[in-house]
Amino acid sequence: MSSIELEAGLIDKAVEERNAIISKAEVRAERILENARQEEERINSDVDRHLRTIVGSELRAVHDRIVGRANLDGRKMIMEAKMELLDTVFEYAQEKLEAMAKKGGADYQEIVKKLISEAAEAIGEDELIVSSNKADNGFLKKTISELSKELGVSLRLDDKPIETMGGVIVKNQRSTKVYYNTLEGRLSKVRGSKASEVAEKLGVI
Amino acid sequence: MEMERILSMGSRLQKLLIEAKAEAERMVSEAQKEADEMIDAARTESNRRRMRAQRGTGLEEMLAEEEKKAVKEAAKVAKDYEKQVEELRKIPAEKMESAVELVIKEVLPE
Repeated sequence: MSSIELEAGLIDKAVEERNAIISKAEVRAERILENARQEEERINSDVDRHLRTIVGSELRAVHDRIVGRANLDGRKMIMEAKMELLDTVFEYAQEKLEAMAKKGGADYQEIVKKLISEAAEAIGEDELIVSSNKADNGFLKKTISELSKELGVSLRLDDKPIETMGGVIVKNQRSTKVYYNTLEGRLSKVRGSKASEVAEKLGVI
Repeated sequence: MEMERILSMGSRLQKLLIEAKAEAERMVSEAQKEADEMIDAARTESNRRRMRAQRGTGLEEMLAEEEKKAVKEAAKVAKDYEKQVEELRKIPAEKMESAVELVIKEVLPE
């Protein structure tokens, strides 16, 4: 081995040894710092836990106040959205009923007769006065006597029309018993009694 | 002559290793110092917070922090509800139609 090779070998070995020393020190230093960071975290979480036991109820109150409010507002939003949907359904239904009443025709006239029959049965008296809107008055004038015979009661048509999209108001002679059987009245009644069924149909329950 | 050169180099290399060991010790010692300072600072802060809490002061920070967290959570809750409302509004036309039909059926006499 030449002296140059010997020198080169010595240098390589020394550099390698130096790098190993430094690298080992770096690893050790990093471990020391890592342990310190863990200890720091443990100290912090210990004190947090300790403080939480002291002020737990206040912290819960803060949390509940803010998050609880958000939940409340959210539930209100959902409720309002459901109500809007129901409103839309009932608005559409009203439009359809209005269109049907405006159009008139045999089917609608049959419905009006059934409404009168239902009211007559509910009032349970022999002499009744029927009120309807102007358009329905027209066909009722022609059919009221026939309907009286069918129902076995005396029906008299009130000449003064009422404001309604359709249907009737039936009362006894002394107006002590009044049966409101207008379409909007029935619609409103359905809104009150069948809202949950409608919501179920919409799939929002 | 050659032997002298090799010996001189050997001595320089020896010095390099001694310096490396010193550097290593310095690195470890600095890390240890930094670690000790970190832990001391954490302990000091921890004691300060405990003392303040025992005196009933210094809780504002925790309450403020909790409030910050709660506000974040509340925003997420609100977003979830908004999503649900959006979903609700996407009612298919046939469901809507069927609900309208149900209403009309109920309104009209049998």
